Amino acid sequence: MKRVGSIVVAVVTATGLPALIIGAWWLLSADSTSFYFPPLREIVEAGAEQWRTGELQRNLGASAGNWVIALCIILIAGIGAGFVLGRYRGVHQALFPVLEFARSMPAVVLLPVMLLVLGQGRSMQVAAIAYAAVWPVLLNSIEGFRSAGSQMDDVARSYRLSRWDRVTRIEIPAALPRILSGVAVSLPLAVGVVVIAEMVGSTEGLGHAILRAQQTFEVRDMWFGTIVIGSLGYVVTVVYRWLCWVLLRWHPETN
Amino acid sequence: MKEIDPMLSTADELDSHPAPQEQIPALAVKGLSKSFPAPRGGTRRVLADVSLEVAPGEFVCIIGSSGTGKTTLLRCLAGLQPVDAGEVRVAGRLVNGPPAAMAVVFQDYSRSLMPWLTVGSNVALPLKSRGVGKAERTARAITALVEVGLDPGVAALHPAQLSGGMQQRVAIARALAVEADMLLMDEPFASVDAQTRSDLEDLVLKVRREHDLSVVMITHDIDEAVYLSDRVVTLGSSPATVTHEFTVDLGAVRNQLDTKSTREFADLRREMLSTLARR
Repeated sequence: MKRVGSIVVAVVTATGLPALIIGAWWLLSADSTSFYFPPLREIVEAGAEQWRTGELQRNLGASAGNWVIALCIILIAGIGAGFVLGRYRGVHQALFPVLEFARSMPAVVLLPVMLLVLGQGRSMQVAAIAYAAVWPVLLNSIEGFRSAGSQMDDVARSYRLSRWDRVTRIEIPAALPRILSGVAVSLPLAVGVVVIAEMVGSTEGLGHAILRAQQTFEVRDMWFGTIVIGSLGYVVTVVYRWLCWVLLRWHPETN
Repeated sequence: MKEIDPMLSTADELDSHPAPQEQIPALAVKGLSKSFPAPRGGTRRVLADVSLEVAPGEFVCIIGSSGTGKTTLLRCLAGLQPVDAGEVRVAGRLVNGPPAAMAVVFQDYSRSLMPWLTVGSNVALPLKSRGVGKAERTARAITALVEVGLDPGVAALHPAQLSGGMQQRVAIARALAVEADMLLMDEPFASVDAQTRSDLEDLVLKVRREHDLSVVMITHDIDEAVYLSDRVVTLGSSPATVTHEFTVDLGAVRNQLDTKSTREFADLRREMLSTLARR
């Protein structure tokens, strides 16, 4: 019984404030006649209409596709380069100026260049997302692998572990907490860049839909798109937190 | 107490006239020196002309106060650190990297066990790199865990779920699982409580007897050194070298209460304390 009670408390605590905000929005906007702030009910109805016509699914699919592809590139490139740069000090020192220059360059600045070179479409969007959101993963991976190298080194050497076992059983797990916290920053960042990239360089996706709705004064659709993106970011964060919990169950701070 | 005998069999003798198995020392250190770059330029000499021998099956404790270079010596013996001068031989073979016949138990179990691996995987990890099959790895890990007095069920737990003493038992199990001939221990019981410490000391005596291991243990505790070893070597002065050797004749089977109550134990202890205090 006590257990059920604590679950109820947890659910209420987690959902109470969002429910309150949505409820307040619903009630306060119910009689709104403002063109820019339509009633929440009408926004939801516009969303239901998008669902019926399949537009919502199409846009969601396009955005999620870009996001997932870019994420794969970010993980592979960020962790892979982080391993090399973290393990080999010389490589890191040689590449440091270039890295810092590239990192300081806002992705938005590069969008026109990417548009010109890659044209409108998927490859340009994926490139923009990957470029903008790879940095947290890369920098944290470098730090993670750098500190992992020395800590358990004596054990690995004295027990004559093979190179493969050293990397897979010691260095990657030791760097994992840092890598995961880098990914935690990159994930929502990538969602944001998906939207921006679609606004400037696409004819589909949630970002494109929001911009088009704004330009055609479909205020309800614009609001609905905004809510969908916010919710997506939230879901991504919650799922990711659970994933981290599973992956880091061995970590003393997890328990 | 006896004076240091600098006469050790030279490398040439060993190589040209292979002696019978039992005459080759398990560990032979000859004229070992080691320096490190000093923080403000130049070098700081830590070890100077350290020589010692450990016979097969012998238990030798190396004692010395903090900062004498005990851990540096251990890292040189373990092949983790190159020496500047002199040589280290394990079973007659020159050490130029970690020898397969040697297993190390490190001081800080929280840094020597992988927190992300289960206890079983931690013990089995070195076996994987040695090409032992999965089924046999698991079996040997369980055997080793039981041998150090742990329940086989702990194999599925993570190190952080065990007490400090149990974690150090896991580290000892890992050393046993590789079936080395020689155990090298660096202040293995420095961070556990007194009762656990006694238990672990007896555990080491037990596994050493059962596996006929040669053991070199570094400690700063004279009581522990006398209780455990056949011979105590003191490391002192700066740069550090072997200052004294004491033979401990307390028999092969010992226990905390009786052994530590004997006259011989008290005499040895007194002799060592007074020798060390005189310096």
